[in-house]
This record gives sequence, structure tokens and C-alpha cells, in this order.
Amino acid sequence: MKPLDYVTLLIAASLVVAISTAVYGGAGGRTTVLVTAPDVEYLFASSVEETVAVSGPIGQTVVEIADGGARVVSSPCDNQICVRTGHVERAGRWIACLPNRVFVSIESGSRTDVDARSY
Amino acid sequence: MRAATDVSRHRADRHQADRDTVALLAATALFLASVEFAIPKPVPFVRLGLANLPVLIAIARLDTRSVALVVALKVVGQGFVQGTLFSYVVLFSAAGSIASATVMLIAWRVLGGPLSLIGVSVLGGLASNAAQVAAARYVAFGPTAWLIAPAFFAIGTVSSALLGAFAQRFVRTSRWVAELGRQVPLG
Repeated sequence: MKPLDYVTLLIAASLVVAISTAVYGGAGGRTTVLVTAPDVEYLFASSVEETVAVSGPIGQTVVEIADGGARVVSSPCDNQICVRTGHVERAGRWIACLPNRVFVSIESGSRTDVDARSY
Repeated sequence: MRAATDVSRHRADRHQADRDTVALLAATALFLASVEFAIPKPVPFVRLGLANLPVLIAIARLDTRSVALVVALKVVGQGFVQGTLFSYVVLFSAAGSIASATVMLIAWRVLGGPLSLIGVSVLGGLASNAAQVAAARYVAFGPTAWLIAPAFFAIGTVSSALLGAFAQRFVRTSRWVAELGRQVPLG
């Protein structure tokens, strides 16, 4: 073992700890809402009550964070799929408005249930 | 003129010797991949990375081109042995192998003095795991891929450190490797 070997092991160990905390840590069941638009990205705790308007290529999309989840209140797009998606709350669920390039997703602050596994 | 011919002959010899070494190392990788395949594992994507031993030796003793060749042959050989060559799984293998070989090669060349193959292997393991988790995240499975990351990195660190320790010892004590060193001077 040479001096830098210890450094690499230390780096590796702290990385493992950091990743473990990031993935498994955090209060159980707590989620965050990630709102992504072409030039901004907002992260809200899903427990807040907040309405945010983000602009995309065809106009403004209004996203409401409430009741532990999020929904798109209004969107300038034609098909209104994002609005009709309604309220999303569980980690891993998302709403997308492709025409206006806005993406809203519920991220888990803690471990989520895996939907399916296949090896 | 004579001197020039000697130099070019010497180069040709060296080139041939390099080729032989690459072939032998790639064959060793193929063999170790088979051994690895035979070892039962709790989950299929966890690897001990035995086939990286020849790559470590290549990094310690051969030039960049030869290392790249060993890595490419390793990926193909591994895919062949494990039956994943023509599936998307080979993408993970390639991403991990290329990322780790690049990082290891740079680490060895730049920090070679105070860093032994142990550290090189650990860094390579991290790079490989990062590349594979990223591939899983962005190509195959989406955000839930992060759930496997902690176990992946933890196992990778331990196995790469052990493999690096073995490689370091082997490179230092093996007569065969010492012979390689004479044919292909370092640097």
C-alpha cells in the first residue's frame, strides 16, 4: 500500500457512505416535486402549498404543489394531456407537457417501492 | 543506415512481442470471465471483476494502444462467455470497461509513483460502477436504478481493492511480467 492508495480507499468509502445516505436516507415517505422547464428547474418539498408558473417555448405552464403532490393547473398546449393527468403524489410518478417542454416529477427523499424487477 | 535498420527491426520485434502479450492477456481475460461466470452470485449484475486482472497488468506494462486492445477483447470475450454479446447488457459491460480502463490508465500514468495498482484498481472500480449506474439510470431502468447504487459501489470497492492488491503483488513478483518489462521498457 502506497500513500495515495489510502487516499483512493478513503474516497471510495466516503462515496459509498454518501450514496447510501442519498438513496436510503431522509425521512421515510417524504417526497419532493421537481419542476423542469427549458431554462429553469424548481425543487419543492411536496408538503408545501405553492403555485408556480414556468415558461416554455409556447407559453406559461402553471403547476400547483398541494396535498403532498403536484398537478398542472393550466398549460398553453393543444392536447392538455398534462392538465388531464391530474394530481400526482407517489414517488416516481410524473406529468409531462411535451409541447411546452415542462416536466413535473415526484422524487423520493427515501426508498421507493420498486414496481417490478426482472433479471 | 545500419543503425536505422536495427532500430526498425527492434521496433518490429517489440511490436510482435506486444501483440503476443495482448493476445495472452486477452485469453486470460476470457478464461477469468469463464471462472467468474461459474461463481454463483446473489444478483446477476454484481461482478467480482476477475477479468480486470489482465487489464491491470496491461496498464502497468503496455502502451495505450495495447491496453485499448486488451479492453476491447475483454468486452467481446466476456459477452461471448456470458451469452450477453448481442444483448443490451453488453452496453453496460462496455461502458464500465471503457470508463474504468481510461481512469486507471490516466491514474497510473499521472500518479504512478505514490499510487500502486491497488489505488488504480479502486479508482477503476469506481469509474466502472459509476458508468454502469449511469447507463442503468439513463438508458435502461430510469430513476429507480439509483437503488442498486450503494450495494454496487460497496461491493465494487472491496472487490477492486482485493484485485488490485493481487495485481500489484503479481506484477512485482512474477518473472513473466518482469520479462515483459524488459521487452517493453516503461514510459
